[in-house]
Amino acid sequence: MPGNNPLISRPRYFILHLTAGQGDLFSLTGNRMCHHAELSLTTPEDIQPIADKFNSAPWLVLVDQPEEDFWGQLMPPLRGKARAVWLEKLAAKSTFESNFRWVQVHGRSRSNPGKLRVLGYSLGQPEALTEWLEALSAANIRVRGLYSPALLAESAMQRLEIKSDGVAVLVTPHRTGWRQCVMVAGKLRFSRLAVITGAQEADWAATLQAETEKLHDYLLGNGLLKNTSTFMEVFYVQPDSQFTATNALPKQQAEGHSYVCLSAAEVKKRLRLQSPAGTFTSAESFYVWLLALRQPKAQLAPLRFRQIDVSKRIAGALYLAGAAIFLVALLFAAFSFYQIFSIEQESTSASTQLNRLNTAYEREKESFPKSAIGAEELRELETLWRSTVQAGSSTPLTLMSLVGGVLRSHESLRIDELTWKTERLAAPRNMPGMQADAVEDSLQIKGVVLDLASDNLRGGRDATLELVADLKKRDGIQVDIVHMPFDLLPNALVTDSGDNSKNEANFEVRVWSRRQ
Amino acid sequence: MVQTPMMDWKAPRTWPKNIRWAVACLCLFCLLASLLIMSRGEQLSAAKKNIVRVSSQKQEMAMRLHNSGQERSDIGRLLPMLNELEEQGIFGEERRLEWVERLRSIEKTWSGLRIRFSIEPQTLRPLPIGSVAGPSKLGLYGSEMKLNLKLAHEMDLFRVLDALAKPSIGHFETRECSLKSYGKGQPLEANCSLHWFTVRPLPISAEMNGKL
Repeated sequence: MPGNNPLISRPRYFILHLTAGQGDLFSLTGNRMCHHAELSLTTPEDIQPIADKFNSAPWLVLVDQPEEDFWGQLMPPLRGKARAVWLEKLAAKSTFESNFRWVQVHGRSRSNPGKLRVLGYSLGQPEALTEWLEALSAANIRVRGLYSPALLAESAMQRLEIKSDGVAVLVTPHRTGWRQCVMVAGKLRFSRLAVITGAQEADWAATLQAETEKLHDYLLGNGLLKNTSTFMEVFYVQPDSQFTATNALPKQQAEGHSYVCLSAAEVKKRLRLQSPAGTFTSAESFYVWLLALRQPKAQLAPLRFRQIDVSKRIAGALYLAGAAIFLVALLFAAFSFYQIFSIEQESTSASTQLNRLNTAYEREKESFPKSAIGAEELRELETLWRSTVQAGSSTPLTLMSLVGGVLRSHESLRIDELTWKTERLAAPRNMPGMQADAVEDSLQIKGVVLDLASDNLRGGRDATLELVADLKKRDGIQVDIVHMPFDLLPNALVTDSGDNSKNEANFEVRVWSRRQ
Repeated sequence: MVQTPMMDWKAPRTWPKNIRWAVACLCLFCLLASLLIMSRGEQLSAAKKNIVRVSSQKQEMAMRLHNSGQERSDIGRLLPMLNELEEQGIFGEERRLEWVERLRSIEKTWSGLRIRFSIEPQTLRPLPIGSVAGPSKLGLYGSEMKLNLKLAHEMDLFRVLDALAKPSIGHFETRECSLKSYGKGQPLEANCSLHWFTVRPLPISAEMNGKL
């Protein structure tokens, strides 16, 4: 029982080997294989009672039955979705109405290099297989995949270290017959379970020769071998029960098939597997071992039977990813903690030094003259003082007294309004060599020319021009005439009402000076 | 025999419970990891900022200590200027009460003179470009004032402006002044706009803003 057997206390896989309508359960712990011969699995219903005890690892189902179908076709070099559709269509071309099927692209065709060779494979008796798989699903058993010896043949050749560029046949005697897997250049081309009844145990060598000839004829008949002169290398996996010195392999002819016998001991050695004595009674265990060692990517069970395993694997991967992410975060946290610790130590040391410097400075400061603000602010104040207050500000007195002095000699003018203004004219920025901001003081003089005769249209103009001329004589100022009396502009409408009593003798002059 | 329902990857509701749990755990782990990384990152960033700040303060303090002799001599040299500016009312708070008192006193001094005024709230003014290198610790504050004067003679305007410019209540700059005559026998009317400037240390927050 698994609970009592320390070898299967933590199995990696359980392998259900289905052949001749019944199942055998194997378990793999470490690299030790154990056959649970005490379990009688003759119908799918026998799974349920043992499910709880054998549910600690995924199950691999190996089906060995003569009902198999191979078919091949050449595929144009398609990619993506078109390729998937094409392969799906090919998979449906099986002679069996079976969901247990598989297609494999074997590379470029030798006869038609522009196309790819595709091999299709399906298992017959799908109802019986479905019953077994559903029983496993119902028992909540993790089914990782459904395999057949044909799917394991390529891996078998690699594990047995057999290298053949021609046609190789791997023969394994099973309980219900002999399995013959035909490989061309290491790729599976065909496999069958030849049903053999009778005393083949006693004269296995003769049986091997006869079955090889039959297979050769079959392959020629189906066009898998091109001509009769194509001979095969036959590798025969010999179980313990057949190991007798009296039997000998057929002698190799000058032209004919060659035979190599692989003893049970040799096979075990090459597979590097350990098993209790007596396990290798039939060579079919060889495929069980192969499957236990490494599962090929291709398998035959639809997703619904593998759902429990797939979901557990996905969940496991997600947990692992989560744990990895958290671990990375923890590592980052630990590293940053170390960094923070180092920085804080450095910071503490710097703070201590700062305090020491502060104390020394405060002691030094006590000897400074008492001041409301520090030296830095004082220096700033000095600069500010120079640039603003000491630079001097404008006053209306300058321009007004200057203009007042001039106006004294112009008694015919009456001043109504004087408007003084100072403006800072910003020099254009970011232009090297430009002058600093300028200050413009201006005085606007509004007034009227008095005592003008009604027909003296030019008197107002002359008086204003005289004022302007006098102002211009003063240094440092500019004068603009803003409004001239009786200024008959060419673009204005001029009319004569005959009444000259309301002559407009208003004038407006702007005096301005500018400094940096 | 009970058939296991098929799951649809695009519909999370059809996922088996263990996958849903695993996804929830993954999300939780991611969240925890993000929080952990963010909190550590923030702490690390704060620690780095702190060390930069302390180091810069240390450097500054070392420099100040080194230059303390210069500082002492600068204070000694510039202290009279500070005292003078304080006396003139340029350094420190605005002396608005003194200003109003001075206006009233001017009004009483010259007969026929009537003064009306308004003072805007004080604001922080930008420093003249190039006056201070680097972040400033002092603020230049200014208040805009409007004066409306009824004058018997135009010279009264200059007398008033002259009297206002006398030290002890601050520094004024006349920006605009208009003088209107309404005919013989009528008083002149003057409208002036003045800026009143004072200087004082910036509050800490403003100084910090200036630095940032």
